[in-house]
Amino acid sequence: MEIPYIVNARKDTGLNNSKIAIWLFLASEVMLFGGLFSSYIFLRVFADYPWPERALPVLPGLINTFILIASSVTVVFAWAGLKLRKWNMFRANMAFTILCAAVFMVLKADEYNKKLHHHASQTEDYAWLEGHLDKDHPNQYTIEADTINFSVESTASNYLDAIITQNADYPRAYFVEKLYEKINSGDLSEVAKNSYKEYIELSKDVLPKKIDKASKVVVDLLEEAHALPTIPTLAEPYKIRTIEAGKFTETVLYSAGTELSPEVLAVANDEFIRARTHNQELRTQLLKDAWNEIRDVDKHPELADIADLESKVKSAVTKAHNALIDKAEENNEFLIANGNMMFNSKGAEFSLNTGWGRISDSTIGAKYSNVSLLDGTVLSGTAGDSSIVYHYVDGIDFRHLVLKAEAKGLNAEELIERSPILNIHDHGGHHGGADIREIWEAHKVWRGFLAADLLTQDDWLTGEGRVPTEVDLYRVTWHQMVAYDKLKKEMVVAKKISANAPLKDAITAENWMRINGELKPSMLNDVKSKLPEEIIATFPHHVSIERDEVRFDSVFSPKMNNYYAIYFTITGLHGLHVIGGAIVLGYYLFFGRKMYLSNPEWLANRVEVGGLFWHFVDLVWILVFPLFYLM
Amino acid sequence: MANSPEEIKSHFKQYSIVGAGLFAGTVATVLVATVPALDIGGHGFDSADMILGFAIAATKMFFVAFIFMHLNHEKKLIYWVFLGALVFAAILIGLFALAMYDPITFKTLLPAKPGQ
Repeated sequence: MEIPYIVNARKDTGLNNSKIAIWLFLASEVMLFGGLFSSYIFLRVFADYPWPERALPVLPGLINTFILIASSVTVVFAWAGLKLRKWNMFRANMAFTILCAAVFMVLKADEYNKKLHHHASQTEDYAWLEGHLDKDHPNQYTIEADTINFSVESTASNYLDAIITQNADYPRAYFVEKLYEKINSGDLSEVAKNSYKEYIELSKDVLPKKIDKASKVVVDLLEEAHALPTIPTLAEPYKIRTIEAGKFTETVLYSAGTELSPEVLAVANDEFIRARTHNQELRTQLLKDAWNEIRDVDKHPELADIADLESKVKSAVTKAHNALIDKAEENNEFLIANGNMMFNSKGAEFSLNTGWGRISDSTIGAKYSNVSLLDGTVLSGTAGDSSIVYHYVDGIDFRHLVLKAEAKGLNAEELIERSPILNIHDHGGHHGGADIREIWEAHKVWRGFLAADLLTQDDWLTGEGRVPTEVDLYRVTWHQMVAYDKLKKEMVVAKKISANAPLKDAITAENWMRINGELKPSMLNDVKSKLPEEIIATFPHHVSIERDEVRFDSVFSPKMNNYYAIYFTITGLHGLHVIGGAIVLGYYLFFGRKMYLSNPEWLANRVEVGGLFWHFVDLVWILVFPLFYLM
Repeated sequence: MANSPEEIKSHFKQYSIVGAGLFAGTVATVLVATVPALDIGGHGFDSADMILGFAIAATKMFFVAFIFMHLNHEKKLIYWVFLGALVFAAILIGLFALAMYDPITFKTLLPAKPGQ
């Protein structure tokens, strides 16, 4: 099919269809990104934690801005080349544009990669430590478990409860609403029938899928258990009560001593789900019976009066339903499966992903410690080494601690001094860098000089003296760590202080201004794939934190906080636009020759449309750059 | 929009100047955000820096839209389409202000469980 008006303009609009189409598309893009920027503002204005202001390296962002601006210029020249019928001009400019897109994405990928390998731990007092983890010390819980309490109830039932309860309530809510409308018509049967059907479908289709997802953690755990010298065995028989021909019987599914295996858990899980599904179906059937019963107005004369009908109906249904359930329980119509399976696993050591749950006491050798996994499984025994070990620390941040302290009216400075972060000692020697407390003491001296100096300057907004920011006061960046170290080395060489003198002695009224000036490491380090070894050597090394002192721990991914969530969302979506635009423009470059020879104006129009999209990508970045990198 | 070869050639200089202006604007944005001597308002990032940063960004966006995207030569229809989207986006961005007054209240619509 031939699309009309893709080269020539329509008489009514004065535009060709391609132009209108791309502008409509760009309008939808404006609204899409508008919504995302709106989210950014909302998250920032209402953030209940210190917003990571100017937290991204400026130089890569700046280079990427230059790249996109340059490509915006060349894409216009590429279009102009086609209009002037200069194929080589088009080709050279378009090739440069696509090269720009590739470099942009490489820099962006490098930025993401660095974020996703940079780690941070928040201690219980809301202080933050940032750095790179020791690769030889996995970030995991270690426990020598004597017992494993596998919770069939939790893994299966939590999900069953969540879904069944909500959805069993739904028909009730639906009933009540519809009942009010239909009570006078006398036709309740249709409502009851449809809702019951809905519930049964849910039981059969949705629930097993949810259960599979829930049991994944357990299956992973068991795979690990099989690699251990001690295989956990069942401590007590696992039983289920069943009804056969109306008679109650008890069946032992697994006897004590049975080895823990995915199959054993799967069968227990299935039996438990079968019992729960049976029970829920029965309850729903009884609910339906209860509704049918109260439809008989002769038996419920109180329902003949419309006043306060809704609560009277609910009360009558509840009463009838409870009576039917009691009767069913007396008749052993409900199935019962054990909610737990206890396994003996003395001597077995487990190393568990920290994302799976929490450890109660991580002190090495602590008896009666347990690891509670998200699915309800609990491993109890003696705690192994679950500490978080940083290869080196490149950031200290007390802003969140200060925020919390101020909200509670506490003295933030005192709390900082007591923070576990300042009482951490390295495990493997200094490696040339100062320890964390030493750096913090130096920082306090520096910020004292800064505060005094700022007071002598005028704040344009308030007309009073300037004051340091929260970042100045309570955050120590890797740039400052390097600068403090350089300053001390200089002072030692100049024999103004001894090599053993604390770091803070190196900072004086004469030299403090050099910390954020000439001593600051070059911005070029931000575009290197890894910091130079001589810089890394200045950081505190082999820093270990006890797990139970840690509140939260993550790489700088969307999991870290809303800032990184919106950062990855907006820049990721923008990156996809760059890739999409480059593919379209690349198509014109590599496959446009034939069209150029047959109808050059058509290709020029296509390139113009692709170029409009490319300019829009540039337009978005012009806003993204200051928003994320400079504000 | 320029269509004849002569018109297009005459715009080359304009495209180059706008490109250079965008580079300069970017450098200016970075300098005012990172050089203490150019820090307006209070010390560090504040509303004055935000207004200046957005003013430079908005100017840059204006030039990209009007010169590179040829909005300065477009038909009215395109203006309306783009303007409509901008107004919608502005409303979305302004929506966060509503949260200041939290007009939305949540209540549990589900009835109590039997026996409760």
